[in-house]
Amino acid sequence: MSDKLRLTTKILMACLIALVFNWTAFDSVQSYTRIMLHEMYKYDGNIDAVIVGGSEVLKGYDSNIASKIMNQNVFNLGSASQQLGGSYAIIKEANKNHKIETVFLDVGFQRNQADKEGELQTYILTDFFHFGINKYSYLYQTAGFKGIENDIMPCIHRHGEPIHVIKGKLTEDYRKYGYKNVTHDTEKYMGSGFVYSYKNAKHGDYFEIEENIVSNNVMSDFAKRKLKEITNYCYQNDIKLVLIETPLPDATLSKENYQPYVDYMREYANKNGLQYLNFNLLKKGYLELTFDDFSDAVHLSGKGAQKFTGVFSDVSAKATNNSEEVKKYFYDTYLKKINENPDETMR
Amino acid sequence: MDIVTLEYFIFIFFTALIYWSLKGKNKWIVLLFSSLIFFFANSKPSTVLYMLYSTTSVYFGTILLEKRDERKKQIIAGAVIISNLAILAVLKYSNLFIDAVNFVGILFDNSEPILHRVSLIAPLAISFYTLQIIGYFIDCYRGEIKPEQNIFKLLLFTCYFPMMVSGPICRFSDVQNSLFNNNSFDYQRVSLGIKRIALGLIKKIAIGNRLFSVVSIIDADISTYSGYYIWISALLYSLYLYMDFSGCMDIISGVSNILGVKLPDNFKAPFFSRSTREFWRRWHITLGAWLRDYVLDSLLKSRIYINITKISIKKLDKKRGRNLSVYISMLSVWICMGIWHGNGWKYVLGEGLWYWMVIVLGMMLESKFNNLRNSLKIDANSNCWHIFQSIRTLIIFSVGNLFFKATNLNSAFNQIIKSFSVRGDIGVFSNLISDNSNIRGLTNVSVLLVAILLVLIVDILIYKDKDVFKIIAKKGFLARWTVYTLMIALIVLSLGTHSVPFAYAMF
Repeated sequence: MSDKLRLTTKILMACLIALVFNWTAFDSVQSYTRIMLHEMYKYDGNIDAVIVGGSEVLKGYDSNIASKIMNQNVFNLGSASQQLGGSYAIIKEANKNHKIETVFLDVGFQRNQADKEGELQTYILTDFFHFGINKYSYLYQTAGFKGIENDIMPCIHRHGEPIHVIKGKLTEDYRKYGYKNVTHDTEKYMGSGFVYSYKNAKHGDYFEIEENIVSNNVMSDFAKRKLKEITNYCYQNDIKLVLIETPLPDATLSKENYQPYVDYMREYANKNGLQYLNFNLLKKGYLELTFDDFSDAVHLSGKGAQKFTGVFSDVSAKATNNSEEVKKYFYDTYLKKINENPDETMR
Repeated sequence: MDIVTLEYFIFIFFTALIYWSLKGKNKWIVLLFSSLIFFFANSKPSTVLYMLYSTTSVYFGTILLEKRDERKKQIIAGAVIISNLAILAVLKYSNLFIDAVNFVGILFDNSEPILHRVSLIAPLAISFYTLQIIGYFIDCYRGEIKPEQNIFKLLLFTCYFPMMVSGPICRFSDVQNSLFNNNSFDYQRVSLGIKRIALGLIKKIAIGNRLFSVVSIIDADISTYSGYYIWISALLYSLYLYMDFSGCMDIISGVSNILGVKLPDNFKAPFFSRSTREFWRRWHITLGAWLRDYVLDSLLKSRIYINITKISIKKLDKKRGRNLSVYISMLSVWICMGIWHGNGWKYVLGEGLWYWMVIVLGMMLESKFNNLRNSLKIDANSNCWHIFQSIRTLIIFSVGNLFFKATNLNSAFNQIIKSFSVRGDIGVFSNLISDNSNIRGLTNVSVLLVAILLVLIVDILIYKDKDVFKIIAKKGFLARWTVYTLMIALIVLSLGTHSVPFAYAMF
């Protein structure tokens, strides 16, 4: 064997050994996103509508309820801390495998203040994306070569005790994308991307989040750019884009400089011919949210999610095809909403 | 471009591929281009002017030295050396001077600082390449080497990219042949280089990152981790510094090996040293050698030093007079050592004067220590005595590092006072592990211990002048690949540790 071939063989062997150890350390055993993406890729039939956003979406929309009411296949593509860059990537990924007709894009202000895409939230998705340009362009845009490193060796950003990881990965449930490892005391994966949370908020809980809205720059330049890219992509691919906001507790929202953000999103939607359904502005009579319906400062509980999904599906089905209908369901301003229909966290 | 990244290894791969594939006499040009690319990727482009000045001033300086009388040679040498040192001094050590002026101001009751601290951008590796190019110039001045006729080859010697990160400080004669040699692919050399890189990665990420995480927890909360924790932090920092710096050297040497350029070693099992003097012959070897060959040697031959020796001998007796002048010459070297390490008085004290004091006291009291040891009937050649000496040396080194890692001189003294005046709380010890994702868990602890054991074995072999990789290469397939598998495991299972930049990368 020539020296170069000998060396190449040894390097390949070393790489193989490294990949084996990477497998023992890369902890994907309890990943919701792994199962969610697998189900999206292997969906029986065509996914007609997707809901994209962060964990507020992941825990806020029961896809099965939405599918029944809206009479189409709805899939929840939410993931932890997903930003607009991730939403863009996952919309493209879903559209590669299905003929998506509608995208419900969560534009909650808390997702849109950062001036760049976070690495961890990128890896949460790309760890389980199929090989392709979409995956690597998203990875490279976020993290450059470091992103590629993390893709080859995902144990860099997500590692567990090898003994437990190996045990978990060798189970049939893991190999067949079962739900055993994603069923916990506090929450469980329900299928089609939805995670049901058993945790309930209560009076005295701390309702505050880190992100703040700056009145003269309600959305970061990075988020604005990504929103534009998503809008253009949907337009070019004949996809209806609907901007939505998942309900946050009023105890959280009322601390924010929220109205300028609402005005900005409304103006953006009007300029681009989009629907903007802000469920934080829902009128009295459509949805009464109590402490039990929230699990913390930003997430709906499982009970709240199923309650909300029903309303979301109804309103979306009626309002998305008729912009005049939208005004029937929503207040113009958040102040009006707080005065006339605050949720239990504010009452 | 951090050298523990995929980017760097892809860069090496393509550099090596192009370098090996080219035929002809001028393959070194590939190394020059790669070095300049590396420089621009890691430094503000305008700072290349400093590096170009260093190279051209030395190049033309050596030309001007030819056929000149001694007086003119001294003037030219002075101008070249001083101008290069001046650039280094201004870019790296301005604040040292400013702090000294402000301190004098305080003594004269000035409440406001006389001068304000500056923030100047120094090019990558200026502390390394400046000493390296000055060393080359002095060697030419002394007639020890012939000046390099090709300015671009000299530029390559200045900015050869593996050494740009953390040295070593090379002598031209040591690297000249291999650097300009048109090396081609060699299986043994490349294989050895890769193994050396792997060892460096183990030191840096399996051990160094983990130790540093413990040091960080202690240093971030001195009020909780007070008393003896301050000394634990200093000791662990010493070990971390070794793993970080020598790990970096292993990676750099491994990369350079792959390209066929042999760099001098910078470490030789320093923690087995029996004394501080021996320690500094085994730690950052090339810096110590540079200071010895170009500062101490020049000083010992200088008129000032000869006069000092004469006066000392006159005032004291011959033996004590000679000793005093040696101590004074060593003081100059150690002050330079301290200054080189950083832009602050804590470095002068902690990395310079402290060691000078220890070494001088050791020399002055050597006979008394020997008498005491003999009276206690301790065998100087025994392993126990050697272990005692090594631990003593590590403690001395850790005291110096307490200054090195402190924010400033005041902070260092405060820590020393606190370490004796406050009692450490044993109850928080477990937090150093439980609060630390780099150490917590069976895997992390196992990897750390196995990696330390591996490095210990390697260092024992180095101390005994044995080459660990040659020993492994002679073993059978199963034994070799068990070791390689273990090394790969230690690296992969440590990739998730929080990484910090190499400690000497900013020099």
